Amino acid sequence: MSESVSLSASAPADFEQAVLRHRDAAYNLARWLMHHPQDAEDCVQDAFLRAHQAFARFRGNDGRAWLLTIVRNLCYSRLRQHQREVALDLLDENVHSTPTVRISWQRDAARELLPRALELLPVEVREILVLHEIEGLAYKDVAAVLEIPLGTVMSRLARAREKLQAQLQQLMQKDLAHGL
Amino acid sequence: MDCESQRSLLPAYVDGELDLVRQVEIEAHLSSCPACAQAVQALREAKQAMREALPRYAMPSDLLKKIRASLPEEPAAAPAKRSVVMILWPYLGMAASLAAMLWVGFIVGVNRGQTSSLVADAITGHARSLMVGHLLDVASTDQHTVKPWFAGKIDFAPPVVDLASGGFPLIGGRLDLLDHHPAAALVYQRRKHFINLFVWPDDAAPLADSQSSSNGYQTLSWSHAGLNFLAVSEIPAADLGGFVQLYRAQAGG
Repeated sequence: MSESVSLSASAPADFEQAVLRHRDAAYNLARWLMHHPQDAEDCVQDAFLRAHQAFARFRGNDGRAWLLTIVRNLCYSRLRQHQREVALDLLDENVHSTPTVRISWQRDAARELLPRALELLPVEVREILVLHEIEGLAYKDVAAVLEIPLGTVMSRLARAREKLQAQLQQLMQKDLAHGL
Repeated sequence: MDCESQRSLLPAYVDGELDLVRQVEIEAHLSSCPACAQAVQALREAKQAMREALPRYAMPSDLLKKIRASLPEEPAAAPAKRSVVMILWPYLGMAASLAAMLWVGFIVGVNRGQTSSLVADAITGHARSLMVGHLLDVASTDQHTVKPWFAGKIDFAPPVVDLASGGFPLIGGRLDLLDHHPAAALVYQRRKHFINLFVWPDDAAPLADSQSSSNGYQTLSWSHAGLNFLAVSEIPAADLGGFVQLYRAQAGG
């Protein structure tokens, strides 16, 4: 009999309590990382299976960060297989990041185009915004999921926000040009 | 504090990730720097727009069903055993915290007078200030506000005295953890710097009078009447010594 079966027999409530209740967080992350809903579903399902198998070795008290780390790793390996994304050196090519960009958030266009702008960002930039701005993870939890030092979270997040705004600015200009 | 160093902390300030000490510093700076105040406003607007305009996807119910079905022995197996676990659960938690307390007691007891782990923890608590997201629970310069605030939250009463006349005004307090112990953190100001004074029951392991210095932080510890005290600050050792002397004189310790 496997470890996981004996575990779930002795403490079936734990996995539900510690891990499964964070299913929306897991799905949301995968959905934003993968673009394609079917890929996201596959990754999340796989993540829960693996989390369940590894649960006996889970000693932490933060099931959410642990689960999200698994989800993220699976998403990345799938992205690498597809080679659709994960181009670490492309970070600065699409968008010239100018910290001085000031978006006027009152405009409807800004809010309408924001999700698209986030989707267009490279996955390494996108993920920190998904975790912090959408999922609401504190810096220390972001650090745990991304496996980076706490101090790096702050700087990476600041850069990601700038890139998002620069991307949004670009989309709004295009939108405006089309409208003319 | 110069504008440059403050500016890099503004995102963390808006994210609520700064401790009391830095938060107070930033707020003081914002009131006198329109450029930084404007930057904070822009950060807040962007945050709000992201929160409102970016969807958070919820797991479709079909997928949840599929996942539950794919997990071995989930979720309803062995209800009798589950209830045993549920019954025992609170005791497991108690046992764990008891073990943690004994462990702390063990360390402190063995290293009497050489309280390096606690000191390191206190310095982290003071500096982590940066990252905790747990800032000021009660902001008041009035000792008669701060003291009762702790009542009911912790089972001991930290002596709260205002030392404004001695140059160390009280600015507030919060609950903190020191080596897994709930501790009261009293926050005092010294010119532009801050002092965290951690207070917690000694649990029969009183701290020896000791002083240390690490990475630019000064600490001073002592014990009195069943309570341990640990002061941390970046002010000069002599100043911190003056603070502790004054505090002990006023608090009767």
